[in-house]
Amino acid sequence: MVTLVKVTVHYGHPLTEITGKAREDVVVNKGSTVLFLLKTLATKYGDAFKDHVFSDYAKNQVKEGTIISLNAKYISNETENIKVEDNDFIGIFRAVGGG
Amino acid sequence: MKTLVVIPDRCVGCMLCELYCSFKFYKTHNPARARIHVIRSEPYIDAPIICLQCGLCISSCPSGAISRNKKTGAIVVDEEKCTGCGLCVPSCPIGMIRIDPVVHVAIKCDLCGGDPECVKRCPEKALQYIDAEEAAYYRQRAFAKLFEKAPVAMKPYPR
Amino acid sequence: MKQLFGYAGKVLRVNLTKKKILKQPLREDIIDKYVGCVGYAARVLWEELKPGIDPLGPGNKLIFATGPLTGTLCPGSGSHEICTKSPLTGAWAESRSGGFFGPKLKFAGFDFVILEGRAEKPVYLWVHDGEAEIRDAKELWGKTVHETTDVVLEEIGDPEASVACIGPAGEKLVRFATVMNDKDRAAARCGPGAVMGSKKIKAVVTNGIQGISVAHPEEFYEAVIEAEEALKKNMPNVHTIIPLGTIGLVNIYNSQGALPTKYGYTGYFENAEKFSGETLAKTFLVKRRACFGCSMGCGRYTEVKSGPWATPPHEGPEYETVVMLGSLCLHDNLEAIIRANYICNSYGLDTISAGNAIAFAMDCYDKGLLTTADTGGLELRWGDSATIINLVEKIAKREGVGDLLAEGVRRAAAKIGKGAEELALHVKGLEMPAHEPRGEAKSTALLYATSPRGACHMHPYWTGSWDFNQWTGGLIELGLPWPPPDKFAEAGVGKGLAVKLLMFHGVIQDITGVCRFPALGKEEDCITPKRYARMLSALTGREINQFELMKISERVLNLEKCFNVREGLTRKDDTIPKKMKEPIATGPTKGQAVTNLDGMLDEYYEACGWDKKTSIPTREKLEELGLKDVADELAGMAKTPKI
Repeated sequence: MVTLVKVTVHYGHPLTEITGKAREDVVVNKGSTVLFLLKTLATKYGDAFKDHVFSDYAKNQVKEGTIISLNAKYISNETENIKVEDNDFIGIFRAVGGG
Repeated sequence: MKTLVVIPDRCVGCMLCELYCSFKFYKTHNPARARIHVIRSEPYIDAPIICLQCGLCISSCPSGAISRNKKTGAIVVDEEKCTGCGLCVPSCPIGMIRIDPVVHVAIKCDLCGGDPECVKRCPEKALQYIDAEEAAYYRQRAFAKLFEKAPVAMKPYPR
Repeated sequence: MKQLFGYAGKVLRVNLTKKKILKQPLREDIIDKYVGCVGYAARVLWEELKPGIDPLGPGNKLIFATGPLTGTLCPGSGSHEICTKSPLTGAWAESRSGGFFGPKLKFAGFDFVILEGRAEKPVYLWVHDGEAEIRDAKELWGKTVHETTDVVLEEIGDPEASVACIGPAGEKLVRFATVMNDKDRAAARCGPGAVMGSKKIKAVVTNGIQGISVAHPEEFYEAVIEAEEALKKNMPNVHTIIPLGTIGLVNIYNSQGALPTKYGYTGYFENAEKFSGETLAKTFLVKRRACFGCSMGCGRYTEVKSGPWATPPHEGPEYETVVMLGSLCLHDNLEAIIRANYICNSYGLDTISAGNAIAFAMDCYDKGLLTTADTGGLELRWGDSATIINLVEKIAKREGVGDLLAEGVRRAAAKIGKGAEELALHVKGLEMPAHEPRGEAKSTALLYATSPRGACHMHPYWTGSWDFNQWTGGLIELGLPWPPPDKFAEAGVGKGLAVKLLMFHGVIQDITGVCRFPALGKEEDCITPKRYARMLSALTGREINQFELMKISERVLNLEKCFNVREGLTRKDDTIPKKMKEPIATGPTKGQAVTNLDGMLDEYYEACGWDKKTSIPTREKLEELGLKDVADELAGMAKTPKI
């Protein structure tokens, strides 16, 4: 039997333009890694998405300056090792400043 | 031949063009001594006013100090000949030749001798130095904006 | 006297009681030690204000301050700061605004305008070409900021002058009233508008043709171009702040569970997207706008053409505004938020404090601490647009329950009692802004507790740039701990030292008189202390390096701290609201809470060289900074808390 988990993904500009949304709920198999989730989204949204998130897609390297967060913790270099759980929050954005 | 043109909707009213202009000529920060002027007005207006190099001021000068530079096409003031009489000022329909408040000679845009500083420094690329034919196209469009329905009155009017 | 480069060279001192205007030379002894702007103003107010005075009394002074870099080609030079004793906090107030006022004051020939005393009848000040006149403002009193600006510009006959003025909120002494300039730019925090209102001065208007001179023009130009080229590489600016404005932070902060929602309940709002920068860009944004001399151009120009919340075109809204009047109140209607922003600008009201006060009122109402008997029949329901608009107006006019909220949440909570004080989100009386200290980074909690003006996310610096954004700001060579630790960690990882150094960097912008935004980033893509030092040296001809500049920053920060100590503020006032010690209820940062502020405070005071028990700068530290006279005065105070 397959267990599914729901994850809420938040996009930062310009991914909001590329995906057409600010956030979406994604359903994956329990035990999936964050990397798997990112690659699922890259397949869905194509090259524009891929190029903004990955510097080397084949080598699973996240682009410098792109922050991947899991429940607000930065895990950009550990996406391969971390598994998502139900109701997790994933953020994909570029660091910004202001107030 | 190249000339200066404004892409109006790109201007964000930062006035860096004025600042770089006064800096280039006088090594000082003083928009009052700049040869380009940005009008910021409510509502909606951020307008860089540039000299159109039309040449109307040439014949107004009793000292023959104003002439057209053959290389750049710009109208330039010979500061040695200029007496600061100010007759050129009213000759300009858009107010872009004035008497400098410090040196008391007529000042106007001379296209920086063919390498306009404001064009290089505008962060929005609202000022462009392009082929004159292309510039003509843009100028028509900018002028047509004046005919837009329901023109908005510029407030406040100076006395 | 040797020529001063970069500075206008004169101080305008206006005694409103005696209607006397003095034009004084800039004090070189002060600029030698404090550079200018906030640094200069801090020294003047230290010397001239008696401790314990009523900020709304004639004994307070209000200073419009510029720095040597104001109005120059240095990035972000469209800036000025208003310094005074705050009627909201009773402490140090420095309130920055963008636009054109700062540069135009310098073009008028003055670095500072010092307002003293109190006018008998409403007046305004017209400062131009080395001169100043006090003019009758009888016809202006009662007018909104926008109307006042139009009328004054017509009256003086110079449509390009910059008008800094108060609206009805300042006149009514609302404790968080602003001084607006160029219509929609705000010196907003800490209530400078109320101080101007108490002095019955409606506006200060300025323009002129005096240039800002440069000691080494070629070197200065090169330094500026290098700085601008660095800024162009700043991708966060390129991708977010510039195209979307500061409001572009909404989606990002929400994704990180750092968006203040329901007044301290949580850091995540389901409907945040409705007032995000992306949504604004697709709906009510007319165009972008910049402040004087700024190549970033983060300003928004917005219009709501029709509907119940129709609003004429104006600059705004900013990130802080949409969050404080949005998610903090559980409210998501962007049009209504824009309308509320416009009303705040019109009346001259701080949108941060106003939004906080409104959410506070909603929280009190929710918990039965305020009832319809107190509100004159108004139901203060979470998320209700009409309630928010209604309350903004009432606060600005001090009507009904607005009169209570106009006192600021600290005083309002004390009056309401029944536990309201535990709900209020403020530090030292300054309402907490739109950065969630449990969600953004724990260093934010430390910043809120120790910023001299109270709960502030930007002054002296935005410390989240270090552990939330992981930027160096060019501070590694100055001792910044690197790499940054986990943003959720508290004591034991160098946050005290980091916050101190980040504050010093921020003070550089405050003493040179420029906007903070170009200073946010990494070594290669922002204005670092080294870049500021290079530009400042070339501009003024007074050689200074980044280490020396940071030392001056330390001096100024210590002086601001001593100003507060002299007013009776010590460690007991370096706090965070009770709710920040409770866990965030939902979202990505569910469960986060501030658990060890004391540990962080200990680290910070130690890094600063201040007494850990009281937070008071030690004599040793003050003398090291050349502030022996300050140490002497503090030691001589009857009420100085004993160590």
